[in-house]
Amino acid sequence: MLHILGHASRLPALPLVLLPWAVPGVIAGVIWRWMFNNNYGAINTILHALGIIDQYVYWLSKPTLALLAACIAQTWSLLPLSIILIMAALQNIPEEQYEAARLDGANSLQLYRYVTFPHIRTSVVIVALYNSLMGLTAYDIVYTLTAGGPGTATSVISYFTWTISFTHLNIGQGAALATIIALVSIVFIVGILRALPKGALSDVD
Amino acid sequence: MSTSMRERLEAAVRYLWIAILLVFVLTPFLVTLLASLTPDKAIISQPARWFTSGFNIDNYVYILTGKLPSQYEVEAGQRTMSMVSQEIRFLPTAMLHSIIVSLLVMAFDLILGAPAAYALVKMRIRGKGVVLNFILGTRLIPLVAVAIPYYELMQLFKLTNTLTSLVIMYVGLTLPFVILILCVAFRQIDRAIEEAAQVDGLNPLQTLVRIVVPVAAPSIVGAGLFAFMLSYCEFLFGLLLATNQSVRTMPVTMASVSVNPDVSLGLTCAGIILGVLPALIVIVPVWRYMIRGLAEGATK
Repeated sequence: MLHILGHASRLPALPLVLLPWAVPGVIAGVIWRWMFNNNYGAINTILHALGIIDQYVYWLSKPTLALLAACIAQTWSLLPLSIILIMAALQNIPEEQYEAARLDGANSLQLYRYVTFPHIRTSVVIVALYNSLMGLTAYDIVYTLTAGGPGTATSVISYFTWTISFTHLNIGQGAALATIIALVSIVFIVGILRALPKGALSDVD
Repeated sequence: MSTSMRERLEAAVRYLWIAILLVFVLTPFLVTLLASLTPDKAIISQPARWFTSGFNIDNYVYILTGKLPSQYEVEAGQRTMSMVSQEIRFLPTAMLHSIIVSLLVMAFDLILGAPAAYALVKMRIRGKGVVLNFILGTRLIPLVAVAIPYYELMQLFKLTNTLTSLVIMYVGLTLPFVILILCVAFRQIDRAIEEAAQVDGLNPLQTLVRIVVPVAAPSIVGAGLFAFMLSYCEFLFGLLLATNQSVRTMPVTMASVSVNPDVSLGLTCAGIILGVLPALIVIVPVWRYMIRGLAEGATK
């Protein structure tokens, strides 16, 4: 669920890319359920019309494909925030460094490797950790997209905890699972907090 | 010559990448809009007749006014009639609930968040780093992990199935973000302005209200609307704390509609478009005031 962008920073269509951010996870789940529908879904229809597939693919009935579908829907939801974070870092790169590197004869891959990447490394780490954390807690998309199915193929840990606690009303087991989730997420949270640049938020210490 | 060729190739790859990105982001919106405007029969048939069956706004009219879509009347018979469930008709009320809750959350967030951020940025407080990390860190804990204790607390105070419980919850959920955004915004304010205010004999609270808030107004608007967007979209606590039809929020209603086999695809999609609209509208000012400010603020 990670996605790293190149130079999308001066993109005029950028607010359009942010739109999924305003879509609640449950609704993203409903939208993607219609996209991935086995019989009349938009993806099947488009791929069929383009001649890429001969027969409709049963996306949500096959365990691996359903998991893939959940990943794609989750990525769609998280993409805007990742773009914003990485873009903010891209805007801070001084133009002179690119010019200096170009004078030294660097090609664009080298520019990316030695000028761009060191500047955005922190943001990329934060985005990666944040997205993993969100992946760990993905709950609402799965709720409407697959309801954990087929079988238990997409029953991710948060969804599982939810069903144990509030569908099976087994609050004790649910609380135990919740504690495990909290402990695992603390690892990611501490990672994010440590990756944040010092003094980013306050003048005085 | 070869360098200009390469530059062109690079530009081409860049635009191709952006195009792929836009297709990925926008296709779900477009096909949802399409399904909301096209008769269901045309969408469900194999192969689908997306563009050749005409468009109508019957689904929207039904959700907003209760006038039955003509496609269901023509097909008549009890079975097709039952395709239209009453449930989607609750969407406008649910949107109203969501908007009321989100507006209140926005107001409380700003009233509580602005002084907090001001104090954290401009004043010397012991253990401030710990406070900031705590504010950010606790908010990152997955909501599922803390849902049970919150539920029990709300039950203890007899607040379940009230909009009040949602306002309280969402202020707790969004306040950390508002404080962080305002911290970044307040940092950018020139110290000289505040010093002048202090020389004029304003106390910190007066400085905040008369000087800092007007200067940082765009960021404050952005932060407030961001809180609005988050509250409007929240689902887990909406489902947990306000299940009753009389207090249901928009995401909860749409989730329930989407698993109701009696609501047709077209109606669901029309509901999605209507339901998401307030948050989509807010995204433009959020982008303009908050995110740009954040990006520029980080450079200073």
